[in-house]
Amino acid sequence: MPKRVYGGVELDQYKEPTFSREIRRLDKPEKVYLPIDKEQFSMRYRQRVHQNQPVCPGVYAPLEVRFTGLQTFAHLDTSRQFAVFETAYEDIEDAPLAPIGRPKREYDAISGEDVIEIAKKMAIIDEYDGQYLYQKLQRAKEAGVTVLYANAIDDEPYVSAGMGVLYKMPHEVGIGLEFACRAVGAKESYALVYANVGDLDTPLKGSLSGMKVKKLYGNYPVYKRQAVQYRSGQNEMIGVCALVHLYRACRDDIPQTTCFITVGGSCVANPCNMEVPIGTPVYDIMEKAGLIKNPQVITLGGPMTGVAITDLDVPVEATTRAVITYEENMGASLEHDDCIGCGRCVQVCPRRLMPYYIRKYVKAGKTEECMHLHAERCIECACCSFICPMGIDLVAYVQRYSQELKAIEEAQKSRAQEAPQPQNAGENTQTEEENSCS
Amino acid sequence: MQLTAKNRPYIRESSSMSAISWDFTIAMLPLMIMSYYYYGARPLVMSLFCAASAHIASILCSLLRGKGLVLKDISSLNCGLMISLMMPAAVPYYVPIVGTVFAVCVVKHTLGGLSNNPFNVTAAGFCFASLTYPQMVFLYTLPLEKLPLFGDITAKMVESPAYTLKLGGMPNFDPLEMLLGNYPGPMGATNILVLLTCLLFLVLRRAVRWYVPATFMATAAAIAFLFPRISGGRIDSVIFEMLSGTLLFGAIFLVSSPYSAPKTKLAQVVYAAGCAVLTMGFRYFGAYELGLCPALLIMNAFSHTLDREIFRLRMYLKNRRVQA
Repeated sequence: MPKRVYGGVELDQYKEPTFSREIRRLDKPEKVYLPIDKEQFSMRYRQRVHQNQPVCPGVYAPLEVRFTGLQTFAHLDTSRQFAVFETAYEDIEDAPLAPIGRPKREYDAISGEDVIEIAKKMAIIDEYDGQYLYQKLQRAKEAGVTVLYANAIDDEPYVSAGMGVLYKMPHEVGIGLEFACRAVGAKESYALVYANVGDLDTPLKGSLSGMKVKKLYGNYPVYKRQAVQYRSGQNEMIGVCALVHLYRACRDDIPQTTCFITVGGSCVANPCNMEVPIGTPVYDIMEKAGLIKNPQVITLGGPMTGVAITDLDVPVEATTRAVITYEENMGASLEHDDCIGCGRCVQVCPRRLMPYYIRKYVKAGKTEECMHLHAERCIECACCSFICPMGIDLVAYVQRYSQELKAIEEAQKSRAQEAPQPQNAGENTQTEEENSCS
Repeated sequence: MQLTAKNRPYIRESSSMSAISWDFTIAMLPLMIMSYYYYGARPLVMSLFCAASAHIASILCSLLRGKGLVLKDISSLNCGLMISLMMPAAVPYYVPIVGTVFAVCVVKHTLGGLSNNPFNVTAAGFCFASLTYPQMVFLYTLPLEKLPLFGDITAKMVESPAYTLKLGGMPNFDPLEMLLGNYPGPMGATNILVLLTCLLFLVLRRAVRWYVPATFMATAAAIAFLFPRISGGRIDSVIFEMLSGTLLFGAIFLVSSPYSAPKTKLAQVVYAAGCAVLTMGFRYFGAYELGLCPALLIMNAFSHTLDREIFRLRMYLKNRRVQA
């Protein structure tokens, strides 16, 4: 019997026109910001790096670039460093992003171990969970996975990068999936797509380039909830963009230097799915897509789980799947904190938690008493904040609960470590005898 | 462009708190129209006085609590309107006003205000008014007798069918007349057909969960069927118990009110059933016809407990299933 699914919210998806339009390319940003590990990075000022050459282990230059400095961004963990590169495209021909010509390797000659080696060397990252593809394939192989799924689930409004890539580049996704099956030893493979979208101009086909497409329905969230069964046990999911990069890497030895994002929202003139070099600042993406209104908010990611940015130099990374603009700021805030007790947050929670009570306990400072509410089960889908008529940031309360819980556990651990060690029984009696004699 | 940053999510469900409150206010409008039809302009003036006193009391309490002059908070209006609709049409104006002021000042603001009231404010206000002036709150005029706006009421005062049931007698009103509201009773609680329409409106607007009033009515009907108070038969007992007093009005506007009820579905069902059992208990064994309001206040005290224990039970069963 299928597992019953509770709660969640029904969202208007707004995936047109981004889904039906062809995937555009942003070829030449002025600058790129590449994430680097400071200890493994050393470059001189104005040092040149050619396209697809490593900048530091695991990071490749998407274009002909010159290094100009290091930067951190306020919205990210400030211990993360980004290396700033200016593009030096004025003295070379534009190198294409997509492979052309004959493949450098024959498809049948590529074995499963080769695929994993290539994925490791080319630093391919799964865009949905940020894990390295080679690690996912290795774990899946060790676990004996028999079914692989190409993950194109886009359950948040506006975002259609996954399903756009699946339906516009089925050949690349299909061959990439085949390579992944070879690496893992899986016998079956499917594509997964969220089909509860009412306003699509192009129908969602059930079969693409030899791949069978499994359609998922239901309320948001789907990836964090129903789709968990497709990445546990004998199943594993791999993002479609990672599969496209795997195909390119196996065919032409091209590392992953681009990502596929949806550029959309109510302020964009030409909403579409775009392939952009990793590290492209949001400013260049907005310029390419065009703005018809001044947005109040721009998010990296969808409207439910994305992060708002205030600096247009913030770069997209491999796990960024959308850049969305909003005319009005309807975000949640801890300033609006007047709960009326309507209980809608409890009705929609897909994990069947009680955000109303978690907020009450956290506000009262009773984190320990709150443990029976199992707030650690929260998947941060933001359904509770979405449905709240007062605009309260309930996800922040659950996060605060997790932080306070960690602080309590660490305090307990440090107290346990600092506690004086108990002495042996013999020593005690000797001390007592000595004391009694004196 | 001026970019601002708040937290996710950046889209919102379109309803707001005032939309929920206005749903209840709109649902009460047909009841006020019917009370005007039966009793003249007096019910409307009473509702106006109650709503105004509720709002003024709320503003004064906000000032006392140091929250400043809060003029936009209209959440107390519904409390005033509901208390007036549960009163007889001939009651002096000060009776529902006393109940409303007690509800807003003592039960609402003293216990924390909008977000923190553990008890249903309307039920507490009505209980206070009826226990303070019992001889005024349970005597009704006959419908279609226009009452003067001010001054003494000289119309004939009678008891409601609920009192007849209490004495063990059978009310001699045609159930069809009772459906249309053509019998003495609380102003807003007699028009059964209109009340059912209001319930439909609130359920379709998702202001009220259908299973809460349904469970309440079903449990009350079952008790009336199994333990009839009257000798006319079990079906008659069910019909008269359901149509008399403020049972249906309370099921729609008081028991279903989400603010002081439990938040999870199963807890709400248990809460509604408990309310029904206690209401019938108060009706059968209590001193006055007052049944629903004290029952509701008792169950409000258990809201958090019901939520917590049912959640714990569910987690325990889930863990056992996972381990097995």
